Amino acid sequence: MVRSGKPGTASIGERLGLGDERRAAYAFVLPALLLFVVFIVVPTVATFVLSLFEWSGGGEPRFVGLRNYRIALTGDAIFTKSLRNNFYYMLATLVLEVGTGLILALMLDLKRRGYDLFRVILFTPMTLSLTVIGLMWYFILHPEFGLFEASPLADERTALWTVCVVSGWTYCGFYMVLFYAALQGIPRELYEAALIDGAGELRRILHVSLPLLRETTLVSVLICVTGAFKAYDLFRVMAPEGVPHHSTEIASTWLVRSAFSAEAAQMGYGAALAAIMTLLVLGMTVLYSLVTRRSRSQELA
Amino acid sequence: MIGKVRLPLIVMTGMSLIGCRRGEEPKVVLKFAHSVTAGASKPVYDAAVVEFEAKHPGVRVKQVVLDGMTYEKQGLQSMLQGGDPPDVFFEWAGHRVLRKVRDGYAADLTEALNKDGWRSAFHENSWSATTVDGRNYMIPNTIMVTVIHWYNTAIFRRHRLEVPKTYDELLAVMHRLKAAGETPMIFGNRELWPMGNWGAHLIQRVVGERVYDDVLSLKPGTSFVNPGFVKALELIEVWAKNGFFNRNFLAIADVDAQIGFFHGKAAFYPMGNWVISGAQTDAPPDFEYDGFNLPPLSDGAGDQTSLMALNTGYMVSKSTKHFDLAVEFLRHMMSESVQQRMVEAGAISTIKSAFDPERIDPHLRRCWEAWKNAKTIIAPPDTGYPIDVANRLYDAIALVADGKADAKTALTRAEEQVAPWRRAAVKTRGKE
Repeated sequence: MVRSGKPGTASIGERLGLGDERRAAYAFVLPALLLFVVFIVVPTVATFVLSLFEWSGGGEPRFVGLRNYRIALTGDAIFTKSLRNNFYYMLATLVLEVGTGLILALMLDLKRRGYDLFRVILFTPMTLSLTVIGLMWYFILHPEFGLFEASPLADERTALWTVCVVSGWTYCGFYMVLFYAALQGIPRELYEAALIDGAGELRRILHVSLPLLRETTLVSVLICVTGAFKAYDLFRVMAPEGVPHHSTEIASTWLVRSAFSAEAAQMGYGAALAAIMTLLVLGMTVLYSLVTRRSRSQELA
Repeated sequence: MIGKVRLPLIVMTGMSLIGCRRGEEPKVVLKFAHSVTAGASKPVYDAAVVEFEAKHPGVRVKQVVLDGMTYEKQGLQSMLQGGDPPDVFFEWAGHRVLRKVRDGYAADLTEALNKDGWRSAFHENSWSATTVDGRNYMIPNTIMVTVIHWYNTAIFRRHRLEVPKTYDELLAVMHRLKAAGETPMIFGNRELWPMGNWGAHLIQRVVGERVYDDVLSLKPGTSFVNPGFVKALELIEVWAKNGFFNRNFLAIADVDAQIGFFHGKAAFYPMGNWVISGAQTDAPPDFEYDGFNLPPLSDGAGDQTSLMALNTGYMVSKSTKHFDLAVEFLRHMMSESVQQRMVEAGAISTIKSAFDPERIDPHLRRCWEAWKNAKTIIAPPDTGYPIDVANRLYDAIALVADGKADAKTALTRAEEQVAPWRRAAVKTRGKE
């Protein structure tokens, strides 16, 4: 490697005392880092700053301190309800998406006749846009012109669960593929050994497949949990305005309506809701990582 | 060889044609945002734009059209906040105009209206809620009657019903319709405002226009939970208990209810005068209907002739680079010729010379009569007042109409939701 020997012409990396390898590493990371800063860090910080103001998107913002947070956490019953709905949605999708995906993958792994066809059919909803899926189910379940006399979307008690089921129908194929791919990575010898030991199909699943699917399960749960808080399109299309009686209102739909609704246009308040959601999801992710790391180290020990 | 030459030739010819097309591109593009996506008014808008472009070579009017709900809720606000806001935009008079002015989106149109006596072309009563501090920020286009009790005349004939003159008679009609197996009243309340406006009008008739205005304006010391509001919602409780509303009214869109009404699914459909335009395009040819204002309550307070209505009109962006052209465009939109066509499409025009009550559609005349006979015009909650306040009142009305809460509980919930904003409003007022 030829180096410049002239004093005073050292590169930034040299002046910082970085070796060639580290400099190259930083050079490779820099574009991604820049993108991350511009599109993630700056908007996040801006959102937190904006949450301290009252601003409609036009005119001069007015500093209101933590007022927006106070209103969101103590005075906005719809936001509280929407967070609760998010939580229910998360639980339902864990069962309907991850759980069903796992069961389907295990069934496919039995490799009965036609399993390839089923794999394609079950994955198909994932290839459609969520808006298309939402509209399709909205028309099937339309309270006035739909297929059912009593639409579950029109009932406060069933509307949220209906959206959850559609979400499960859409995404279970995705988790099925994840689990199925992981199942293919399990050495066949383990199953053969279990078979020699007299284990039936159920015991092979319980004692071989499931323990070895642990990592995939952990990742799937994380994707599902964070995804539950990012949900928007399906709810927007299938149950606009959170009908009936905000029973299908989730934090993101309420946030958008608070921030961008022409008259409400409370950008500051919307930013505060976004900040609360960010902290919540971040907190859950950290907690989840800590719990799984702990159980993993206990297992290794 | 010829084949080899042909492709570049086609490409070059195509490029030169594109070049020619580019050469014809307009020098100025005027962005015009509105929410007329369909109905009889749509061709009027389109024709008016074409006429204006023909009169102004080099100018293209780009219509940005969003459906009413999207436009009202997020569409317009997003456009105004974006980097390329519309030069001219449709707006509802009232609190929305005030917000646009306060947020710096609206150009002052006072001088433009004073020029050449343009102002005198408008009805004198067209200006309410279009001015801020005595300055004009909106060119009023139409008077929108928000709640008229449209009814199916064939159903009325079938059950030998007469137009009710009082609120009690209206209830009696509802009972007879219900007993005869009809759906007395249809709403598509997914967006909350259809039934919300109807309920709010009933509230005004019970509490009077002053209390209505004070509570919705978040005046200090006021609250949703007051005896008048509770009494009004108890009246809606009676409607709900008797099953006067269509099933699923909370989950269907207004457009679904409108189509249902046109196809005889219900006797009544309380809605604005834009139903006339919808009926022209979407109702079966033999569909007959008529309408009346909410009849007076015997024990109500305030003006019992009141009508829920508002002006709509056009505003010009403060940031427009083509202010004069935008005004010129609006003068064209408000010209007698365009406005006459608007009237034919079912609008009550603000232009004196375009609106002759004797020569208009009979349905439109009903709206006009209600407007003329009303001593008080009250604003719908969602355009006349802060939207959060309006939405919480709409929530309360929907809860009661759905039988999910009694009047007091629903209003208490609404008040709890509004309370932080009410406190914030008091604080802001204090600072001002």
